[in-house]
Amino acid sequence: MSQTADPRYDRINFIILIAPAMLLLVVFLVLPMASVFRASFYPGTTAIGSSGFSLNQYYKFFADSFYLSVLMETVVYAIITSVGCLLLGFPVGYSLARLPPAKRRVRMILIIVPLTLSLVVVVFGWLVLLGRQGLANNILIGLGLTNTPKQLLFNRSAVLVVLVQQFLPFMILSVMNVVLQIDPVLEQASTSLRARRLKTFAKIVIPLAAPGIISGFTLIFVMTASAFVTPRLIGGPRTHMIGGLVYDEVLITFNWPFGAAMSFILLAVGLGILATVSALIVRPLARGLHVR
Amino acid sequence: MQAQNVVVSFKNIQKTYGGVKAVAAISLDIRKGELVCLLGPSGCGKTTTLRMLAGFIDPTGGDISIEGQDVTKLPAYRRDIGIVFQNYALFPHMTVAKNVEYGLVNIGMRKAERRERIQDILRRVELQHLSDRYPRALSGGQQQRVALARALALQPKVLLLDEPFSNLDAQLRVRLREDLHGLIKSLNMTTLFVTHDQEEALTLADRIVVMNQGLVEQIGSPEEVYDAPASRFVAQFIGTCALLEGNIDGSGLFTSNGGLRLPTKANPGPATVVVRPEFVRRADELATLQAHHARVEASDYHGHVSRLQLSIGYDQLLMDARFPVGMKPQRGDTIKIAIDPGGVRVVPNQV
Repeated sequence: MSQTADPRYDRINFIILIAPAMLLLVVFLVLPMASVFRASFYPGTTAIGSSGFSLNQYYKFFADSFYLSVLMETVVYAIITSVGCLLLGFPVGYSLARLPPAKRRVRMILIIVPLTLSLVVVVFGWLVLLGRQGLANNILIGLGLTNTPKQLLFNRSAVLVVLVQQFLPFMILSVMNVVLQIDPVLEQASTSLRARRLKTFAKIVIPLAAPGIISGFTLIFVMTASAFVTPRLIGGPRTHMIGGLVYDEVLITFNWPFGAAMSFILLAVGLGILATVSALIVRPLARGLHVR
Repeated sequence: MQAQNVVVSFKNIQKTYGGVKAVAAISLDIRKGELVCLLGPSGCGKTTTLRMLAGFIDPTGGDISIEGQDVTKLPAYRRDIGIVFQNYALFPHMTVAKNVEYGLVNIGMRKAERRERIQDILRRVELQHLSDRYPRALSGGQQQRVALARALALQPKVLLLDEPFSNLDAQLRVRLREDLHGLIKSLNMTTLFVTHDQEEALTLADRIVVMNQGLVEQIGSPEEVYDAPASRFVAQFIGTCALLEGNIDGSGLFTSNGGLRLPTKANPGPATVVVRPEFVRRADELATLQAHHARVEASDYHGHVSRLQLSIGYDQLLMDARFPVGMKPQRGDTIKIAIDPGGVRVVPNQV
C-alpha cells in the first residue's frame, strides 16, 4: 500500500523488507540442503574428502526391500496420522470457531499447552502411561479385563496414537481458523433452503473449510513422515520409519551420503504423494460431499 | 381472527433471554398476499420475532402456525419459508444458478424441472445473463436479487426479509424497493419484512407493526400509524412531530400546559396531542383559522421545504413550509401561523 507513484520504490521497499529473512534462509537452509543433496551423489560411505558423482546411494536404497518397506510404512503412518487428526480434529476446530470469543480463548489455551511441552517429555509421559506398570494396564487389570499386564508399547498402534495426539492441535487450529471465516448465517441460509444439518455440513461447511482441511493435512503429513523421536521411543527397536534410519546413518554410522540420499527420497516421495492427494481431494471437497 | 386466508399466525409469542424480555407476547395474523412490516429501533425485538418464525430461535412461550399448521416445534428446514438475509448470505462457492438450485435439489426436484424453475425465477429478477457468475463478482443490488430469487424459487408460503436494503446506497435502495414490491405483489407472496427505516415501512407495507422494547405499540396501515399514532412512541418514531401535553375540557377544546388552544373531538381529560410539521401553516394560507404568533428558534433548509422550530409561549412546534425568495424567516423573527385542525391528533395517555 505504498503512497509513492514510482513503482521502483515499491520494489526496493519489498526487497529491503524480505532481505533479512531471505539471507537467513539461504545461508542456513538452502546452502546446507544443496550440500546435502550433493553429498547424496558421493560414491563412498563418507562425505569427508569425497569427490566424484554416482547413483550408488540411490541404487542401494531401491535395491533393498528393507528400505523400500520402511519407506512404504512411513508413508502409511503419515496418511493414517493425517486422516486420524482430520477426523478427530475437525469437529473440535469447528465447534471452537462457533463459540463466543471469550470461551474460545480459554479452550484454545488448553489445546496449545501440549505444543509448548518438549516432545521428549510428552513421549516419556506416554511411556509411563502405557508401560507394564502404567496407568493403562492398572485400569485394565482393575476392571478385570486382563490378568497379566498387556504389551501396550512398542507396536504400530501405540505409535499412531501418540503421533495423532502430538499433531492433533495443528489440525484443530487449522480448521478453526478457516471456519472462523465462514459466516454462520450461511448455515442458516442453507437450513432455510430445506437442508438438514448433515447436508448443510457436507455442501456448505466442508467445501468452504477445504483450504483449512488441506493445509492441516499437509502439515501433519510432512511432520509425521519426518518424525523419528516418537517411532523410536514408542515403537521400539522393531518399528522403523525413514526419519529414524536417516538419524542412524548421519549420527551413528556417519554414512552421510546414504543418509542424504534417504532424506531426498523421502522429500520427493512425500511431495509426490501430497501433490496427488491434493489433486484428488481438493476439487471434490470444494464441490461438497455427497449426502442424500 | 379466524379468517380462511390467514397464512401466518403468531399467538402470544414471547422470548426471554436470562430473564430479559426480548419479545413480550406478540399476537399477529398475516393474510395471504399481505406485506407486513415489523418496524422499530434496534433491540425492539423485531428481528427476534422474524427469526422465531424462521425457526432459528425457539420461542419461550406461545405458538406460531403457518396455514393452520403449528410449526412452533418444527425445525427451520421443515417450515415452508424463504428468507432474504441482511447480508444476503449467498454461498460464495456456488454460481448464481447453483445458489438458486440448492433448495430445489434439497426438496428432490428433477433436473429438467429445476432448470426450468431457475430460468423462470432468474428472468423475473432480471439476472438470467449472470447465472454463471459467482456472488463476489456481483454488485450489492444484484446479490440482493439473487438472494430473493433463491428464496422465491422454492415458492414458499411466506417470504421473510431481514433489513434487505440496509447494505445498499440510497438511490439504489429506492429503485430496488419498487422492484421488490412489484415482484412480491405480482406473485401474491405473503411477506414479513423487518426494518428500522420508517420510510421503507411506509412505502412498502400493507400493514405496519410498530415495536418498541419487545412490545407491539401499534398495528395498522401506513396511513393509520402515521395519521393516528396509538402512542407517543409511534408518533415520534414514524415521521417527525411536536408533542403537546395538556387537558381537554368539556367543550372539546385542548389547552396545552404552555397555553396553546386547539379544537379537538377527543374525550375530555388529560391528553397528549401530536402536531405534524406539515399541518403548521402560514396564517395567510389558512386565513379562516385563528392565527398564532410564533417565534422562530431555528430554521433548517431542506430543499423542498424549510423546517422551522417555533415556540408559541411555552409550547414548541415544528413547521414545514415554503417561503418566497428572500422572505425566509430567520432565527428570532416572529411569524404568524395557523394550525390545520386535521393534523391535530390526540394520543392516548399511557400509564
